[in-house]
Amino acid sequence: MNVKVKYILPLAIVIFFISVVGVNAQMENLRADYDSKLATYDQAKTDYLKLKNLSSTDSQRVEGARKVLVTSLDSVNAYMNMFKSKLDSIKPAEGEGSIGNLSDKYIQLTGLDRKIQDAKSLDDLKKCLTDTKTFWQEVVDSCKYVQSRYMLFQTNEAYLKLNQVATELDSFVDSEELKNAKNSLTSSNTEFTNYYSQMLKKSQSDMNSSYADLQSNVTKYSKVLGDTEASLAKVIQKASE
Amino acid sequence: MNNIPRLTKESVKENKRFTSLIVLAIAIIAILFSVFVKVSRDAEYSKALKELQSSSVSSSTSVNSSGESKIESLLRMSKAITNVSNDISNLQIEAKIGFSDSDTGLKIDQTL
Repeated sequence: MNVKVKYILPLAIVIFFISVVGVNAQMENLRADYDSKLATYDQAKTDYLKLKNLSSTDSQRVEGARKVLVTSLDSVNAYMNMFKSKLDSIKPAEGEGSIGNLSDKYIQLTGLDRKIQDAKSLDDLKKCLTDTKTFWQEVVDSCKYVQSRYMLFQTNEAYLKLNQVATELDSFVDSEELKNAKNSLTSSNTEFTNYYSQMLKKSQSDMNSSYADLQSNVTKYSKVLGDTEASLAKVIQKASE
Repeated sequence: MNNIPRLTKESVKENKRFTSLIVLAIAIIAILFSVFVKVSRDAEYSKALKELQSSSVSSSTSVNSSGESKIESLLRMSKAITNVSNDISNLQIEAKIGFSDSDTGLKIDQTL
């Protein structure tokens, strides 16, 4: 084996894994942040219920209720952050300004937080609670849409990258294995491209309602991608020997 | 019977010294031999490696339009494939887990 392959390849793999660990660590941090915010929110809620049962004064109940709502917004914010990082990693389709409305939700969150801070009575806070519940549902819908788009985008990217490698390999290698891998990739890619363009035309609510279907399709396409990737890796390995 | 030389202290000492010298000589010869074998093997290995490298380099140094040799292209493709492999694994996990707000989502009860 060539000296370059012997030394540079392991080095490249090590650098790659370090970067993967970095990205995963970032996601883990976002997840941990969300979990801790959720725990704080649960604690605030429990404290408030105790406070309510102890016949405390009205002002104490208002402050307790405000704390519950503020911490609930913190949790929503941390939840949104997990999907914001996914949203930032994908590109809008051609002619599409921005993907979904998750970015707008941050503005709404700030407005809702101000409303909670300004609330004077329990009745005001009850209205805020209703708004927070509605807002939470909207956030879930936005995040679900981001998740769908993220999976579709990643699938498309994987097809593009594998196609690029397969085409380039064609100029080096002439093997049955490569031909089969290329054929399988091309037919699966054509099928996926049709599906992807159909999905991009869908509205957020339509895409969310067909989430289970999207999930099974992504599973199907990622299986083909995984098999093709393994075949191409073998072809590269043989060509390097 | 009188012709048989008698073992004296001196002759026993002499014999021991002689035996030690023989053992030492054998050990030195064995060491020298193993060093010689190792050196000659290393030389052969280096020669073979050089031959292999020169043949490998000659077949892989033809450059493409972007000035990249075959081996460099293969390395780059190998790296790209490793990246895609990880992306696909992540995608498979994402598709398997799916989207759920029931276990992780915020449950706002009617607390007020």
